[in-house]
Amino acid sequence: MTVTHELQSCVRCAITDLVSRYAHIIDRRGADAVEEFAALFVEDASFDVLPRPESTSFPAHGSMVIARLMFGRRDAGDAIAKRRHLMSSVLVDDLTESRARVSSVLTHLRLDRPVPTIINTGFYDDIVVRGGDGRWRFESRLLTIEYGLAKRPQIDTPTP
Amino acid sequence: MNNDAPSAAAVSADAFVAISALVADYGLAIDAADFERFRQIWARDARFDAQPDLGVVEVPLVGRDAIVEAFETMRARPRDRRTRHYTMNLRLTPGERGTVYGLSALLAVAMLKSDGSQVVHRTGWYRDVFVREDGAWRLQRRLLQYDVADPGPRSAASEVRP
Repeated sequence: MTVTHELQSCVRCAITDLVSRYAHIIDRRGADAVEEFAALFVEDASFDVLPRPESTSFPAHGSMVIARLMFGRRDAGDAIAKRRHLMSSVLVDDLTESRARVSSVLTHLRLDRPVPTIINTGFYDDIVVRGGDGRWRFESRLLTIEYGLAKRPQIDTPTP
Repeated sequence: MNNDAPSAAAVSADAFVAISALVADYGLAIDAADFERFRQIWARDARFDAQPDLGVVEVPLVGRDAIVEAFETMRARPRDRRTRHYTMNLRLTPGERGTVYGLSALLAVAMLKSDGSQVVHRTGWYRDVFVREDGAWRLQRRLLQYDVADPGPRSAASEVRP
């Protein structure tokens, strides 16, 4: 039997799971999940979005600040309409025992119209770290949203 | 059962990798009309259901043979589009009696034969039960929950458990 209840050794699986879990919580959970969402980040994590949306507080610092900001944006105005964050093409690079660089592709949909429509697409460039409890968390997330001809900015250490 | 508990930490690496491939195979097999490959995905006593019933196939389908036949018939119908099935955001948690529960998001993209344009055709969730049978992981249950247009707020949390 290959199912176990022990910590497994597939680091890439655990990191991919972290990326999926972020999307599941933001798409499917109520406001009571804000602490659970915050727990996906290390305490002093950072989160930034480029290009920066107007009248927002990015970059955000601190896991609870990030969680409240993201849930607040999600639940404000017409953002309360059903959305879907689809994560794909997850790459794990520069992997060590406790740290890795992760890139993934976001396809962001809205589902409150007769036909699901794409709001935007973008890239997440993340640093994830493993804590003393063995769990992987985001240390930093950079979401680069593609708006038409907007170009992806250069990142210090580019990932493929 | 908390669907957002760490899942990869509770399912073995071998299972995670094998089931990830199985989930990909489902979409690849349908899109390629490869029904021998599609058959290998399912357990003998498998069950497929869809909510709401959009009439894509007659549901519920019970048994591997019935599932394969229904999808093969569906795929053979004349259509105004070609469809690609993408499965993303896969989460796996240990199930009962050695099974694994799965939850993933569906994105179906249609390419219209009339002008070649590509549009989002359907989205939804797959709620699955995977079981070991004949030395391989297979789909024992699949419930497809389509997203339907709903201007209201998102539904409250729900479980991975199918």
